Amino acid sequence: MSEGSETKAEWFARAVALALGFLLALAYVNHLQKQRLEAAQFALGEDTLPRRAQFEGQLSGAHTIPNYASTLLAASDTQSWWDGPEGLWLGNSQMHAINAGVEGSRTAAEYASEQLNLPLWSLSLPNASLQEHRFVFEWALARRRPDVLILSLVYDDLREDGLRPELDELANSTLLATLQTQGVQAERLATLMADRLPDDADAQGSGGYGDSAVRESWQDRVDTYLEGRLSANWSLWRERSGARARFQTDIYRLRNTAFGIKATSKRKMIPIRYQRNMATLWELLDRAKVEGIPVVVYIVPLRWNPDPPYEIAAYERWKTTIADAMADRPGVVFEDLDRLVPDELWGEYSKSGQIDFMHFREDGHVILGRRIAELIQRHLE
Amino acid sequence: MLFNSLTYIAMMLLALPLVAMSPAWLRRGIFLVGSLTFYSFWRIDFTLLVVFSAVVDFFAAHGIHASTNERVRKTFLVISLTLNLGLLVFFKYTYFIVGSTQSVGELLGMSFAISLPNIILPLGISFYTFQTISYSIDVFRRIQTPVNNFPLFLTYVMFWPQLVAGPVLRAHEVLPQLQNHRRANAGEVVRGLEEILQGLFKKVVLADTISSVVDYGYGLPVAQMGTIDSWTLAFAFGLQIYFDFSGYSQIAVGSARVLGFNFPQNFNWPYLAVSPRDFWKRWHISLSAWIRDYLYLPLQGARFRGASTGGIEAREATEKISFVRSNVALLLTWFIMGLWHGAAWRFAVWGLWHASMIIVYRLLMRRPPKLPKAIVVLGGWSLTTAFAMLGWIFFRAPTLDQAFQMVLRAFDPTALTTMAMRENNYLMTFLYFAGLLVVAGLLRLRTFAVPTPIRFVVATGGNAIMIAMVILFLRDVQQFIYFQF
Repeated sequence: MSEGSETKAEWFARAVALALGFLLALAYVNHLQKQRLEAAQFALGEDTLPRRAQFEGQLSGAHTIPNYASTLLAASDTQSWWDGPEGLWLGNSQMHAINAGVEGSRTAAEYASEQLNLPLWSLSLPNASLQEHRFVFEWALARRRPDVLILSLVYDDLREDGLRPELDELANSTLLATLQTQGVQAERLATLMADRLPDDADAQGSGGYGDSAVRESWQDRVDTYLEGRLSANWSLWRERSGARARFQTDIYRLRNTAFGIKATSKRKMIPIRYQRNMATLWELLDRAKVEGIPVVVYIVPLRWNPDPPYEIAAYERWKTTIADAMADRPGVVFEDLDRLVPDELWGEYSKSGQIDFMHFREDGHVILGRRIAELIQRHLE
Repeated sequence: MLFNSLTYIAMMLLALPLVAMSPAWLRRGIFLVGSLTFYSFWRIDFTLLVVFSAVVDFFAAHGIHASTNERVRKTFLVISLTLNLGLLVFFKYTYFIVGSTQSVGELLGMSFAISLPNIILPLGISFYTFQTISYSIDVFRRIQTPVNNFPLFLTYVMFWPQLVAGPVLRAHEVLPQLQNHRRANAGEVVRGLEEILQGLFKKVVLADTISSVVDYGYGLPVAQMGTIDSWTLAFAFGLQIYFDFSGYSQIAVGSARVLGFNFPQNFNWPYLAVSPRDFWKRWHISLSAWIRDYLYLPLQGARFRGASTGGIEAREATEKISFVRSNVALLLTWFIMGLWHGAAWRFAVWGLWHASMIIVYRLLMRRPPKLPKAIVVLGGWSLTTAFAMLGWIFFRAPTLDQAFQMVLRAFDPTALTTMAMRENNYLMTFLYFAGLLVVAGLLRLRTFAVPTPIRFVVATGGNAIMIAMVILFLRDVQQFIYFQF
């Protein structure tokens, strides 16, 4: 039927479908919002509690990017607060997540700090790659030079590549310029980041399909104003990111159900990502050496009942590669801790019944913290 | 101003009641002021450039029309074309020309450095330039009478729904609707809102989410890619640009419709095309039709047609044009069409890729295979889709060299098991493409007698999903790909 011959009843039905669709959409978004997820919680499961480490009343741990800056900078602003040795600990969610944790539970970093009586700045992100550690290390170095660097190695996180957009917040021209002189992988990271940051991209040759052409335009200002007004007056709009995270979680679970993917499903290594992360690791260690910063490198504890979701032979080869390379590196203490935490201290995603291979209970943090403290002690002595 | 922004939604919410309540003369004023505002929200200084271009074309068209002396008419036409193309070449191709000249110089052992100022590409210059060129040529061809009212002409050139990324419309398709404007009826408003919603969904939800696959994949070194990576990235960008650009066009057509204008659709399910010719009757239809009437048919010496519909569908069946001339015209046209899309050689190669597809198709059709129709259709669809998608590699790869390497990698049997991306990237690309085909199939059901209640439930559910997703995913403005053209 042509447009012109559409009857009143037909267009009225379409109008009602549109209006009803709008109401249903609002109801759905509202429903998602009530079950919203914080990004940090997304990777953890309901039973696992994220926790920010503290040392002598000062927050020393951060697992979101805005907290990175506030944690380190706050400490730098109060120079007199601490003038002894201190450490920087980089890792993934294992560092900040406590399975079956409760208010007041403490992380490995806090236990290690307590044992050594020195602050360990623990900066962690879910699935943080070595490329991201490289970037964060350079950023932290410019703010608070550590006396020791603790670096966790996670086989699974070698499947990650590049820098997550949230890290843009830490970037500035000085940091990018420094990275550009620090090796092939660091230069690549600087380029990746620079491509994402605001620049004079109205000009041709800046390339990309970004949104920079509208930055600083009237549109940009009005958009910012309207966004602010909507967020201030409409909770549904303000809380969209939480609802979006919930929706994406549902999609992720739908995928897992549809394809029978479980926590125990084997994950193949992706060669290019593996190579980039390993190359970045060597660059990071070289950089620490140039700075005269001793490094503690450890392979993270894993759950071994059942076997971790890797191709075990490939995983063992990787560990051998690491161990062999570390043996030749002065200034680096290396230890394979993948069997450090006993089986009974590991968690489950309670509602889904999925096994958690990465996050253990507080007792596991005690064990890891003490072991890391011993390794640091070796350096500081 | 970008369509996928709160600012645009606010502008339309302001414009709609104003248009609905105003008399005809005031409505024309609203359209002009709205269009100037729309462009100024990007950069006010460049608004003057569009106005200047329109002033020259306005007077040149009168000069062409008023004279009976062919030389005078041609002089005015040349003035108009020189100005329009000159501005386009300056703003869009200066870097390209200088860079290419330097490269050739280096090949010949001559090294020279030219320092260029920072040239900003005016938003939509490729689109409004084509509109003004078509106006001058149509007046020259005496199929268009020049308009006497400059504000009306400026509104045609700058009319906000189609200003920055088309559809590329002819004066006779827009000016009468402006001159004798009538308000949209309730049915048209509803239909326009549906189109805007669908366009936003395509852009904000589909195009912007698959862009993560594309941006990551095209940043990988080709040496690390496998055969499947090449194909996946070809399809991923093919889907991104389709959702992005057809989404834009749909918002443009929908916006025009709620304002009381009837614009032709710019896309018609291009990935269902069963031949290269069919593809170009379905993809960016108004541009294909423009190229057909102002470049391809004149180069062939054939009769032009006069509407932005029909896509590349070209000459009358009665016209006899030699195979060689037709194909030379085709190659030249597509070479220019490619460069219109971007100032780099890889865009020209993309154009030639499509020209080659059409030529091969023509050769094959000289002796059509005697096969069952279903096999011909399925084979035609598979080959057309596969090669159209592969062609997008030239469009998106950062360099021509990388594009060639990726295309070669797509046929490399030794790299069949190499995979450089996460599993989700392949899955997402597959699901988007499969989803597109499923939706196309479901929409075909429209032609059958689906009971009204079922239709209503499906429409309501579809609208609810699209609105919810747009609310969730509308965030920091992501520019449309075609804005760079």
